[in-house]
Amino acid sequence: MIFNSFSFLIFFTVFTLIYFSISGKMRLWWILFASIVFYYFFSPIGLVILSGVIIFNYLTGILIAKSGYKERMLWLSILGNIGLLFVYKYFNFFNLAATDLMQLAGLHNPVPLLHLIIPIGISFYTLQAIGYNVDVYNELQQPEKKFHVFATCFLFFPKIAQGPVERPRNLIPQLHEEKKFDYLRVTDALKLIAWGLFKKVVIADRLSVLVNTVYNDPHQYTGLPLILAGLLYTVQLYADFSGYTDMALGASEVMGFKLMKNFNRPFAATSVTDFWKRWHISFSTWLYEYLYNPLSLTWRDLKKTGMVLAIFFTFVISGLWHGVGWVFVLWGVINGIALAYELYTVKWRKKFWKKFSPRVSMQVCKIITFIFTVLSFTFARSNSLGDAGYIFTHFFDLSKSVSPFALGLNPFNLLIAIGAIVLMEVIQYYQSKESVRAIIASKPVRVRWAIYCLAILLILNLGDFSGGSFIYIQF
Amino acid sequence: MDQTEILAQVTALFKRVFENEHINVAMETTADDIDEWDSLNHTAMIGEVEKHFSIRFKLKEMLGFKNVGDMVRTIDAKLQGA
Amino acid sequence: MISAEAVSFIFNSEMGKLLIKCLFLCLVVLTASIGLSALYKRFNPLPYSFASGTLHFKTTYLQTHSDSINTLFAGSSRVMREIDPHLFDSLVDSSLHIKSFNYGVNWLAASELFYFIDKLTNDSSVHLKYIFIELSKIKFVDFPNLNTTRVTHWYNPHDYWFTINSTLHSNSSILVKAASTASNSVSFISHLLNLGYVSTLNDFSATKKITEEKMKQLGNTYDGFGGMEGVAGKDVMEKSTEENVLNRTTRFLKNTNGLTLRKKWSQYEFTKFEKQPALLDQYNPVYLERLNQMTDQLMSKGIYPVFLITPRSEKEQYEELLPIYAHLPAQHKIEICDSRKYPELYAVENSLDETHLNKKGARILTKILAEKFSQIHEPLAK
Repeated sequence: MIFNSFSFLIFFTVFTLIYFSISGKMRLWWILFASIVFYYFFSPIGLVILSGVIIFNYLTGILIAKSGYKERMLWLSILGNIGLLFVYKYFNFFNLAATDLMQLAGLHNPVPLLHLIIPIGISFYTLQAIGYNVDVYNELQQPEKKFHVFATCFLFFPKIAQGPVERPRNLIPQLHEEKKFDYLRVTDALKLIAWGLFKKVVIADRLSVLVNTVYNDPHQYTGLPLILAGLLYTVQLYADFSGYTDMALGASEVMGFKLMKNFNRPFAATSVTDFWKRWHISFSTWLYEYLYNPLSLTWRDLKKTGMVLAIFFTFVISGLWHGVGWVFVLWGVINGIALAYELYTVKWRKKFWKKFSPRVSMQVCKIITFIFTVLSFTFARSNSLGDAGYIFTHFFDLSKSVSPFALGLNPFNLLIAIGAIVLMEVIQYYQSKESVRAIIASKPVRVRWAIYCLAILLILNLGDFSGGSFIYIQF
Repeated sequence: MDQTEILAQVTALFKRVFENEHINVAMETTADDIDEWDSLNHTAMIGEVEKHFSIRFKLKEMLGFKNVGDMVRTIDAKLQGA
Repeated sequence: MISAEAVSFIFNSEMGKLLIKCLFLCLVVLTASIGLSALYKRFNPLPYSFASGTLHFKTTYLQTHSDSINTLFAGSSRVMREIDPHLFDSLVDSSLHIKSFNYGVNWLAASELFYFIDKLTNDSSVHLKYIFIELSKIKFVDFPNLNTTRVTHWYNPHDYWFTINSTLHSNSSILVKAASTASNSVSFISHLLNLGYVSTLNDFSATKKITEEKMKQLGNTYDGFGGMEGVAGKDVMEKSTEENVLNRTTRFLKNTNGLTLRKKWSQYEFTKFEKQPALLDQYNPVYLERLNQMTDQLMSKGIYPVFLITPRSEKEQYEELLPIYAHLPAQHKIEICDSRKYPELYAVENSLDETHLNKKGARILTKILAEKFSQIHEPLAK
């Protein structure tokens, strides 16, 4: 059940009505029940796996705090979670790599490939589980003893499919509080959901048509279409992911929960380092907290070399986490190089930009960072290293002239996409100054209602709800 | 050396590592309070502190620092133990 | 009954107030949507066949060859793969001047099919004399397909009401009725709200629009028979390539139990109704009424309808359809699904897969159809 579907609309409406109609103590159980139903719609088998993960981490958390083998229990929990993720997500990738290597040596790889379906959200909930165990070990959090609270923290339906990578130490205390219906909070949350839906269905899903057309067969194109697809993919990814996050945050806010912020105008970043503080924040801070920081502290005697090693390690892992394949490894390495460069040149860059007015230097830095972002995402979106290589060498080749309107979006729809992107940027600019929701709230009732109606009509009419395709293939 | 003295020395180290003469450091100060205290400078700062006091932090200790006070108390305990 | 307490809760609590506001907002949005949809219709940017590549392709072909084509076989993929128009034309009396066309489209079943029959027979650029209509039980769409264009495009209030009403009067279980009502209502509301209209417009112009060139490639002998592989252009639904079809056959040949079962169902149901004819009176009145109305309307336009039930249906299909079928006038129906009479239509060697005949099977079925058509048509001609 994805957020931008009618089924979710019905699910969430029924959920909320009951949520606020039952007594405060029952609400937690109701969330747990609804989350189980929600996840069951994705995959009944996935539910079994997730239940196993929850029980496993529930026990390790308690054992880390109580038993005499704290460190061993910590490593058991980390290896258990990573092991599960490895089997489901990475086993085949490394197995194929091994096959290739062995073939070079003239050997045959006897290990067969696994045919498993990756459980929805596994990349997200395993990270949260690891974070939880480490926090308990570092005594930043008490292990949760109430099993239903612990289970709800992991199953919590707004975040189960695509995050944010919430820290149990943030969410668990909120699960213990009693929630009340708060008119302002609920209406604010509903607006956030609508905003996320707008980004997802009007911008992201519309752009995906063009992006898919080009990336599915990049060799058909040179020049402008390649540049356009790279540019729009970056925007699509942002609109898609941040839209989804807004809906997740909004749904939680309706219920009275505050989840982590995940995006902070990433395209306003002035450096790659800055970008990673603004993009998928819940994940990048997770990496910082549980991977980069321990590594760089362990290697602190190596000074900057230690940090650079930690950066590379972190970004290769980050790349592989985002997707399985060499393009993602390389994408991680590219980002690692950029961060290492920025680490070594902090002082030099400061001195250099002092020659210009701060406004100019800021804008130039933003543009450079954005171009880097587009190029690095171009890498991640390519279906293979070969495709990526082709795209990078044909940005300025004009031999095949394909009109930008022949890429799956007709002029009218391309115009709508661009209009929607401009609207998104304008609103986000204002949001960075003051709350847009507060601005709307200050308007007279007629204007407010007109805005709501218009927004809903825009989403309904301009949104892309199906991609137009009917999934039945055989009949 | 008492904790006030340790804090004073730590403050001096901060000023040097973060290259800012105007930093005020208290026991309650966290990384959020100091602009220059980012993920990269953090490692350098820990290294400087260890060198200055001739001590060695354990990973668990470093990850458990919630503010300057935590670090100062750990330094204190290490110096006492030595 | 709503208690006084509940009423006071709704009007006095903050949540009740929000609820009322939300409902009111929904009402305003719905009204505006209906207005918008009238505007869309006024400027009419989409043909009625926009929802799928094959549908649009076959409809356009029909419209551009209206001077020759006068007979249609309309229905699902079974019709598409099992009735050969060229063969049919050569077998029926040449004095009838029949030139037929296969309007079979994947998944085109009751409700949506009836919608298209209304559209086609009211289309001034289509001139028909005969139309063969496949009967099927009204199904409901499952989750992954909800909100796809193909599912939402045809829901006018009239067809929506028929679908719901007919499902409620069907022999389905209460659970299926609930699911069907829910999924059809969601589709209807999606339709009312113009859900994704502008994207659909784009999807149509980007992938389904037919160029004259494409039409010319087909020539004047195209009869719509068989899959649309490589014909209709880019449309996800019709992605099934020849290879795909071959795979289906290979998979089917590994295990043909499903077909044996379908043969048994047909045998069982036909025998059951023969032994207990009283059971035939438990028909779905809504469905039958619609067919009768359709027959009257078509006849008044000079179009002669013939209803069919294709072989290899499921058990409930027969249970629902045979009583309806029994009440249709004899000159408007042809029976081709009784496995006792036509074992060859249930034979493994004539199969493309469990539910479809292959080309050889299609020849057999077309011959039976042509023969029977002559039988019902002759007394009519006299």
